[in-house]
Amino acid sequence: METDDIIARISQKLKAQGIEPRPESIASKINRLVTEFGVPPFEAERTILQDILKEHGVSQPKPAQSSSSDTVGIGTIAPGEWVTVEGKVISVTDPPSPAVAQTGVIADDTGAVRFVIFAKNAPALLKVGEWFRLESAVVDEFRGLANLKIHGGTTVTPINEDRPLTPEITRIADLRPGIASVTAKVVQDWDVRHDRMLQTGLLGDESGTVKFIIWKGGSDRKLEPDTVYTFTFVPVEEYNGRLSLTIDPAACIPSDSVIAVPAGPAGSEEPMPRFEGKIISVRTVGSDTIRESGIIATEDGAYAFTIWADAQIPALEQGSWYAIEGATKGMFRGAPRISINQDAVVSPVEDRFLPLPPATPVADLTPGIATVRVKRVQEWENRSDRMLQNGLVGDETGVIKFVIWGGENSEKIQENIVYTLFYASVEEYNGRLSLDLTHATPLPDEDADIEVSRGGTSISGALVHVASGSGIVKRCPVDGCSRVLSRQNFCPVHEFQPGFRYDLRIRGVLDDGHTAHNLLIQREAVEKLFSMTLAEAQDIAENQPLGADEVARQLADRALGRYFKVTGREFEGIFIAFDAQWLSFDPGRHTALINRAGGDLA
Amino acid sequence: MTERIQNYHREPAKRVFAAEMRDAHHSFRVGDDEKSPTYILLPTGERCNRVFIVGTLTQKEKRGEQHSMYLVRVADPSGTFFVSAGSYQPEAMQQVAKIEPPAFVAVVGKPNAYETPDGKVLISIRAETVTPVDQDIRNLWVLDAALATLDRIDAFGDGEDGEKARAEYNPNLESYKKMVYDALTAIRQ
Repeated sequence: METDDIIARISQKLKAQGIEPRPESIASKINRLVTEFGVPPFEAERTILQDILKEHGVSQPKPAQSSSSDTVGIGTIAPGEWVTVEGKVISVTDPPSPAVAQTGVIADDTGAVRFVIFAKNAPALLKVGEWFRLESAVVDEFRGLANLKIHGGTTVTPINEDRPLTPEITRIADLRPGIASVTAKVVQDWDVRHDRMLQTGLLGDESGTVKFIIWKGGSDRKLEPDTVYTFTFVPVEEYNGRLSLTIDPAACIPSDSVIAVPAGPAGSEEPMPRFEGKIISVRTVGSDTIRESGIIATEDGAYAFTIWADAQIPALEQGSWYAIEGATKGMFRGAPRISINQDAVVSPVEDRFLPLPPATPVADLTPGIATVRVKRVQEWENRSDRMLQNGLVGDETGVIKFVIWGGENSEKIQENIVYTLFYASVEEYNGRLSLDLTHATPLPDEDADIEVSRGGTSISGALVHVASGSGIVKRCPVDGCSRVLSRQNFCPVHEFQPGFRYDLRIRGVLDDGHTAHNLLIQREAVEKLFSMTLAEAQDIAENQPLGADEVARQLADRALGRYFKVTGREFEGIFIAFDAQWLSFDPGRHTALINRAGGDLA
Repeated sequence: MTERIQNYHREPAKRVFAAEMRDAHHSFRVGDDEKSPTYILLPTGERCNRVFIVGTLTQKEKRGEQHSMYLVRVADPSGTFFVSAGSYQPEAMQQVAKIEPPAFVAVVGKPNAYETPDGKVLISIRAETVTPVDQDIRNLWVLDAALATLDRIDAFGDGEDGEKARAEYNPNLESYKKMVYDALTAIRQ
């Protein structure tokens, strides 16, 4: 029997250390670990031996620690690490505040990173163009980017040799915020609209284009139009979702490369054959590049269109039919869009009958122009003055967020009335769809009603993370607000609200091994699954020393690492669950897996 | 490659048996961005940046004074995971401090490759959370890990990770199938 062998081996090793073994005690420990806790026998043997040796004060060899003094590549460092790097100082910049002694960029063959030296306990400052070894620097994050912090405990050693450094060139399409090197042609030179700015415009390579900025105060050199340069280790910044490069003209090298930058509004535009369509809506955009935009209905469906500033066509009238030649079709924000530019010819044609477009079920919507038949189920507070109304509409197949922007003809949609909304714009942002109803035509149907789907979908998995904001929260009592209040009962919009109401929830991540779903479990489901009612939570929050933190801790203890199935709806990247149930051990599944794993082995 | 940074995508927690994790030694980073995640390549041909494991905490040991950390052993039916919880993971550290071995625990964490002085690569899991659970959860996890492992074995060779795993490990897939079988039969009541 295996247990006897284990007892014999443990006893022998104990005797070698001068300890008298107690076989019955060892046997019961083996039984506890192997039978009760399912620990493999070899692991049980090791655990028991070490525990007994420890009881008798016999020290064991310790596993080696990993070494931290090895140099790592700058391109491989990640926030939170202590690192030793060797690199060349590419640039230094004036410190942005008195607390900072120096900032700049340091690079090696694997990449480049910004560094910062704080004024307090600063080791020596770094010199541009020289190589340094930095031992025990800390990688942290500043505005979402890795930043190498050189502090009092960092050993800075100059390396007195100039090693070759070959920056890796990144294609413009592959740029991300950080530091990068690109070879690109100056394709546009824009008017400067800022006192401190020397030059701005567009750089392009075969893969795409990107904005560049040169600030004053440097060499006062400018980039030459239509010239190709290699820009090494330039900061790539992101603002409003667009990237830009901050260029130091003194540090860029004219290049002999020939670059063909693809022309056109944005990448792949396909020419369209002559077609006829009815202008459903059209509006002036008032930008330098776009004259008007709107929606046009054609025989094969309705599309958004853009009239570019260079188009030589008369103004289009809403409700009229036109024949259009020389337009192009491309994708814009995930939806097809017709571009009308200088090559297009537009001529009026006779009006004709256009059948009303059929409604698309909410669950089947894709980016573009669509007609829906829905009921308003929620109205939310407007986040901006320009917004007339926003909330949720739905039909039998699902719900979708909607927005109506303010304007001459905009009107709100009413609760509990079924509308057919013709030519709504389905937009996609971060993978989520929403409806812009501003230019849609609403047709209310007072007599109809639809059952908006609350059926939702279900996902299963293990709860691998409980986020802050879980547990008992206080909500703003103002109609339509319901924001979570601070500990001081402060609502970011409605200020102090002593008449708050309590709510219970868990925010976290449900993970099925393939996808990590952001999850919000609503009160009913929390109460049911984790045996804590809102009243009990309120009692703990009000009467125990740790208050609401204690509620969150107890819920996390009951929820983390557990398997369950939740039912609800995915919304803006969060799965909102109104029901939940534990997963239980299914013997049938167990047997099926055993068969799959080795029915043929057994 | 063009995925935007603020489009933060949380890495799923892979289900892996200890015996497979013990065989893993190849780690790699995707992209040359400072924030690019590091992955451990599993011998069954899938990358893994986070794991979810449930097993028996058999031993815990505290190291260090000021920047102390717990080194923890967690056994599943196939072998042992090395789990650490340091002062940079205060939640996991407090949880470990409260647990008396032996106990069933659920661990969420990030696998890291360490090289020992004799040149061996060891995978240690830096815990994000460690929660005491019961035997039912452990059994559910064994089914979950079995299914995930069998799926990886069946899909082996499809795609980049499979190719890489073949080159790095040339795995004996039948032995991993046997590992799954043994783990499943170990929890048969």
